[in-house]
Amino acid sequence: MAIVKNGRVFDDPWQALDGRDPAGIDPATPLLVNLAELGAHGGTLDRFSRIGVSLLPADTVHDLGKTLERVELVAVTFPKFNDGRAFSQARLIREALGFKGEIRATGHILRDQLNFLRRGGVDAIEVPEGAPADSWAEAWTSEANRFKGYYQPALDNRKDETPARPSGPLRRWAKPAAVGSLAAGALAVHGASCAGAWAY
Amino acid sequence: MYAYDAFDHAFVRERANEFREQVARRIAGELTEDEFKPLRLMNGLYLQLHAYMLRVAIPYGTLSSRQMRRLAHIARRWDRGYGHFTTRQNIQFNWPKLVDTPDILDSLAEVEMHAIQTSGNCIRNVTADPFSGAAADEIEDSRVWAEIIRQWATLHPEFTFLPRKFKIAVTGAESDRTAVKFHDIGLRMRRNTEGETGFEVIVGGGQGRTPIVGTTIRAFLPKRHLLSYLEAVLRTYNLLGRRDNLYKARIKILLAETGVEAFTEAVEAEWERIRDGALTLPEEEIRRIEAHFAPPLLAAAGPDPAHVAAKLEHRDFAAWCRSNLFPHRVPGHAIVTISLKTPGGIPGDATAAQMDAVADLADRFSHGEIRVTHEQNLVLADVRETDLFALWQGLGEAGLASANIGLISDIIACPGLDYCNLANARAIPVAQRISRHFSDPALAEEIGPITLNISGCINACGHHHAGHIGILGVDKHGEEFYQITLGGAADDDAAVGRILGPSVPYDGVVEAIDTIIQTYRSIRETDERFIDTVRRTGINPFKEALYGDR
Repeated sequence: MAIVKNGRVFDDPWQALDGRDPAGIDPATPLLVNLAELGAHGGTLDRFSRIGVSLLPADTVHDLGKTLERVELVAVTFPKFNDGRAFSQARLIREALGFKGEIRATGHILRDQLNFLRRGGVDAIEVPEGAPADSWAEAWTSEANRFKGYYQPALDNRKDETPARPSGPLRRWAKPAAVGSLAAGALAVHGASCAGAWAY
Repeated sequence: MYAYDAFDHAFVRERANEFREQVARRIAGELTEDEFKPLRLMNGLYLQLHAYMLRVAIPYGTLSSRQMRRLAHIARRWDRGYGHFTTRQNIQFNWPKLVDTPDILDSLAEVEMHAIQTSGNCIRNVTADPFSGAAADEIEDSRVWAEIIRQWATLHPEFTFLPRKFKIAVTGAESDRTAVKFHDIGLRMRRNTEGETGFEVIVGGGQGRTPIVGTTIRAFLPKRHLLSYLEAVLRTYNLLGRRDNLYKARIKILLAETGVEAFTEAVEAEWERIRDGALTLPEEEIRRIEAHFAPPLLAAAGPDPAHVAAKLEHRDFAAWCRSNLFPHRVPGHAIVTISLKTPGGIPGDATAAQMDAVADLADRFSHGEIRVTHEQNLVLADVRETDLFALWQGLGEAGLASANIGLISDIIACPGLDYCNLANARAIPVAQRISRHFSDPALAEEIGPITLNISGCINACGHHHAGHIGILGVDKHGEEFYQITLGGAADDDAAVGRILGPSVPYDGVVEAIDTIIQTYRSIRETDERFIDTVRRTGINPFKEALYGDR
């Protein structure tokens, strides 16, 4: 399955544990577990070099606690596009828990939500089944460029940007240029490493 | 009033362009109706019984004359020559075509208007005191804060797919004219012991099928923390609000199910984490917004003999002055409410010609500014006493001089089954019949202050729960029936009305209301308002009068 991360297309290397016994899985596999599996398997997951956690909308973000220190990826879920709990989960994972790894939106999302996702701390999306990944990558960039700025501070103010008008919380000229330059000409770089793109 | 700068202009245009693309994708079949629905709703576009309906935002109900003329233009060009002012201080157009809506939004953007978040499960148009900046009982202009909230809430990346719609009201006066306790969040300006102004935060009020008066979760919030506190409330609601049942998804249900204490604790804990962060409002930011709402310079004046003479000479004018004026903070001035409740007319409706006329009168007599009230009337907030007679004459020429503000024919009504696909029964013709029945101004004045609100279904858009008399349309085996409640109130003593008894058929409503009014007139004490009689006697005398012989 393809993912779009910061406007670029990648093959998804992650495998969901999906109820299997982790003992039978190659420890080099990037392994995605849910909160229940995380609790149940605890130490046996230590041998995996790369661990991701997937959250359901009803999960409490603060339950991730210290686990986040060794987690590379948190996937948040949209059972339907209008179930917006994942927006708050992503925000809390970044802001309250200080997570710097990948936050990936999965499930039913609309391209019209990409801006909200990006501004809420999500940097990757799972491309919906059967949809052309390139067009989602393009949409990520074009949506990021749609507005020159926003009225409220969120998670899209990158370190390398100086707001043109830094007056208080109501105005942010959050130039999304960094997103745009990444994506231009860099569509469909399948299989490349996608670590470290978060410039929060 | 607030004036757009380059940032606001660009933002609203970018948003209109986005919607144009979305409409094109819908027409091309790239978006299903299910997917298009939340997108169009967040731009104010509903699909009603007969046609699309476009709800245009009038932030906190304040309009310039130029904007009012543009609304008239839209009514003429893309609708059927009229518009409907709503209980959220907005305006609705009932007959636009889908393909025209991007052009309408462009036309609105030219005059600093939009339809952003007038619908959908997001933060809706923030309402405020329609007498802001002018009322004698005001602490501070509530529109400053409504504008700050409007900006913060606009396309908020986290709170655009909430469990359900979210309504915020702000009042800055001693008397509440915004129904602050019937909102998801009501903000009421208060002064603390040090004399500093801030907000009492009231949460979880609402109407619909579960009417609840809001609960105060914080007695005093310093103003600079307003946005971080709102963010904490909204985040708590977004994460914990129910999504399994449409009818239990509002914040009032969350509050009831978790308990006020636990809910408040969750909000306060989150607020503690973020309170001194990026959302803290710097003083200069508050000043920047405040400057937009600087009141016009008005010279105090003593009583005008010509005005007194005109009242003696024209009894209609005198009656209008008694019901439609409110004390202004500057002597020699008045706040004028223009009634959109012509007896026999449709509550809240105005024709394009009337909108133009109000715009002209606002230019001549009230600094070019107009307000919309949640009771579906219009306000000119800064009129000199010497101009009142000429204004009244001008209103008369436009068919807008009804002298009935706060009286029985000043009815709030939703569009009901004439337009709305949720309605069970008609609301407009019921309002028309009642207002015609009580159209004698002397009778209405003799009955005195009263609110009568009508909803065509349990969603309560006509605020029937909060009316001194409430009328709710229900469907009984395919026939329209109406349930009557007494004792509701939207003011400082907010209360939910109590059901009087079995519902009455469509043809029996006027008679039932007449019986209630006659009962009141026979049992009231001297100068006792209708609501005070109901509070004193309870509903039994009315119940007996209405159902006693059955």
